[in-house]
Amino acid sequence: MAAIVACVDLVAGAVYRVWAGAPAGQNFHLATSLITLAVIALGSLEIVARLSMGRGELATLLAGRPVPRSSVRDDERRLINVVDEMAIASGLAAPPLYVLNREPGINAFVAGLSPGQAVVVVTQGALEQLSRDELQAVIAHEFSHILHGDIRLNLRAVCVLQGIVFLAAIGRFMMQYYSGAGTEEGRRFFHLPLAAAGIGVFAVGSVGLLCCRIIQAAIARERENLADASAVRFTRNADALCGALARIRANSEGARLRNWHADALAHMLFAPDSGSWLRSLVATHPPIEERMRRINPHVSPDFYFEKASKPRVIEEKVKARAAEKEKPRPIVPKRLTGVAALVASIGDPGAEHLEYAAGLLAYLAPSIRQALGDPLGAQSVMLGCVLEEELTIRGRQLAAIGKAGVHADLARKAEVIAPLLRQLDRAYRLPLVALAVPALKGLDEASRHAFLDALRRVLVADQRLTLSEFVLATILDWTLGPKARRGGEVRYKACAELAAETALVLSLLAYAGSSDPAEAAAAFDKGRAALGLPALALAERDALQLSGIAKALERMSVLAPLEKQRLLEAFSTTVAADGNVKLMEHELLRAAACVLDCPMPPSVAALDPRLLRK
Amino acid sequence: MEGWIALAVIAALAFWAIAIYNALVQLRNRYKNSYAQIDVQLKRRYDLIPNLVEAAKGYLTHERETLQAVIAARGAAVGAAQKAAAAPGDPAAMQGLAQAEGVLGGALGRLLAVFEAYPDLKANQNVMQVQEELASTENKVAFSRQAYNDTVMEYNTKRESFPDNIFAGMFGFTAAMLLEATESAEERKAPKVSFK
Repeated sequence: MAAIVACVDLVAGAVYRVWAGAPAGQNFHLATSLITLAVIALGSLEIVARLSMGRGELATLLAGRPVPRSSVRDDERRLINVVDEMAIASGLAAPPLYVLNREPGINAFVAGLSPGQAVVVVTQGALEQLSRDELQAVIAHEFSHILHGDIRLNLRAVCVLQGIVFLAAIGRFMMQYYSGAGTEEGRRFFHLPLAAAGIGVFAVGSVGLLCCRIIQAAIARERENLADASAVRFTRNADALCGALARIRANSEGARLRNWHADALAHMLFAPDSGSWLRSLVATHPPIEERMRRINPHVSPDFYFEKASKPRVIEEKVKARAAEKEKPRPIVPKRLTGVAALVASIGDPGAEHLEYAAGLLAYLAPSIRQALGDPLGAQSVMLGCVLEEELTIRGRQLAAIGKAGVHADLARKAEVIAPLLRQLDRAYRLPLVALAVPALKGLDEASRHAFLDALRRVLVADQRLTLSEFVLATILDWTLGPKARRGGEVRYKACAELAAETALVLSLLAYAGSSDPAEAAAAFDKGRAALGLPALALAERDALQLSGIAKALERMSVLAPLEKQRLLEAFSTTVAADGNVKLMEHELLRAAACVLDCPMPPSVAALDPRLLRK
Repeated sequence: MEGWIALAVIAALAFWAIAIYNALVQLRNRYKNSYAQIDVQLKRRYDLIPNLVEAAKGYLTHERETLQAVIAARGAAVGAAQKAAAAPGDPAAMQGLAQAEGVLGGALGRLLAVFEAYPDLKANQNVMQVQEELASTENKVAFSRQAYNDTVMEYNTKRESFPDNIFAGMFGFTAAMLLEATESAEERKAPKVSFK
């Protein structure tokens, strides 16, 4: 950069001498140097501002999707596990992950200014075409970039480059402006000295740019070699990295990124785009064969190329057969899939949960399935769940629906669908709620209010509120009603402030688990111990009122978030105290979690409701 | 004049010793941390195994011995871990733990190999997820052991290099032990895969 400044000085000095007829003074040179440096600095600042955009913005710029840690997609799951393993091996924390959807090429890069802010972005092609070990090698390579501070180094190099680009751009502008550009009007601006100065600056800038690029590329190549070596050190598997490189060569898309922004980020990628001959000087990555020879000197690259040219065997996945009416098989308890995922998703269903609902929907009768699709049908399903079998009571309930301000057809639809719902196992009730909620959320304010009002009337009409009806009403109320839009207001800071309410809910959970008073007391004690509040007293079974429980839950909903989590843990300890979780306990816990707006503890959340005892 | 020079030299030596001490402390704490991390992964593996076995049970009705071996090995490993936690530093307890871990690793490896023998099992999405989790758990345990060995290597190298070894003994930095392979007879047993 000093050379560039000196050159610009010389040019300016020459111009001045020609123009003013006298040699330039000391001050003039000083002024020119300062101006040149200022111009370069301006250019750098501009690129810094652009590149220090947040990590998410960078990935979104390239059309990436974030990978949530709780993802259930196989390829994303594999990526998350691979990144976690590399984080353990390298001692870094696992960074957030993004996947570039529309890129079939195989590539990966890291973005972000410091290790704490780093994100790893991988193309969809890499997820699909690389084997687990090869993916791990690529991730290890990216991790070593983070570890060795290459991001920062590259950023600085790019900044300096941009500054010089800015200088060259100014030179070109001066050149064009003051040369008159051929038009009649343009001739007015003709000014030879400045034009000459412009040519000079442009020339200096361009040559400087080329030199800087060559230097930067050489540095980048060395860093790439370092990253390759570190990757092999972390994975202890040289084969995998060579395999990944070979697969990039074999892939028709190679490592090419379709997005037009990719050019600016060329230096950050795992492998370069296939370039022209001129690129060899300014290539930011060593050629693929050279990299492979360095990684594994004992094996010729051709071996890997041959292996990569054979297509990878992608296992055929057996999709859930939607036509069959047999009961879905017991589902893996640990990861939230199928029914457990649905129950856990009450309150905020996501696209993945609805995917897994396919298996459950296949099992449901077609009319139920159809009803769940639109808001009116969903309402009828929910009301149908609580309609009683006995004729007189049912009549009263249907009349009550008619009194609420809901759609005229609702009562009839609910009556029609009720027998089908009664045939379903009780365990399906909460999953049904989860399936209905998306459609119910499509209702507007007034309709939601009317629906909840109708539900309340129906529950009152049979003059008896069972625990499971309470659970249903609570969940729907807190998911759809005005309470669903509660802010994060915190009125109580510690569990101890809500001792009475906590005792009430714990007692309910204890009695729900077992009718034997001694066992209930033991479960209550466990929950009490988990919270560290020895003063809590088990309430009398007959003294437990559901209205009191509802109020207690409402108070708990404005507890501090960390305390809420503790509370939920204590509840699940009580529930699991006797070693088995009953369906009722599971439902109550789910209602509590919905009110507290907290995720259920994983061990309980993962239980398939259909496998629980009633 | 000489007095000032001597003072400067002594001060330089003191700073040098401090720098070496701090670097050694940092590396020592790093390897102690990596040792603790291994336990984290092992505990995760203990917690994960019952669920995984439960999931696989339905499909692997003919591989009962393999599954039972895994369950038994896990129980033994948990017991050994509790014993070791109760008596930290006791070499017999550590040895018992290492052996139980080895047996568990072998049993899990055989279970993974068994999956390969059932093509329709492999095609099932649930089982593939189970397999992925199993493999990842084993990898995490292995990588945490590897990370521990790497940090111990850095510490030992620094401790034994020339200028530092003068001060290391003085400050009481002892050599750290690498984790050797804990192969028991169980682990060395190759998994049996029959092509029926």
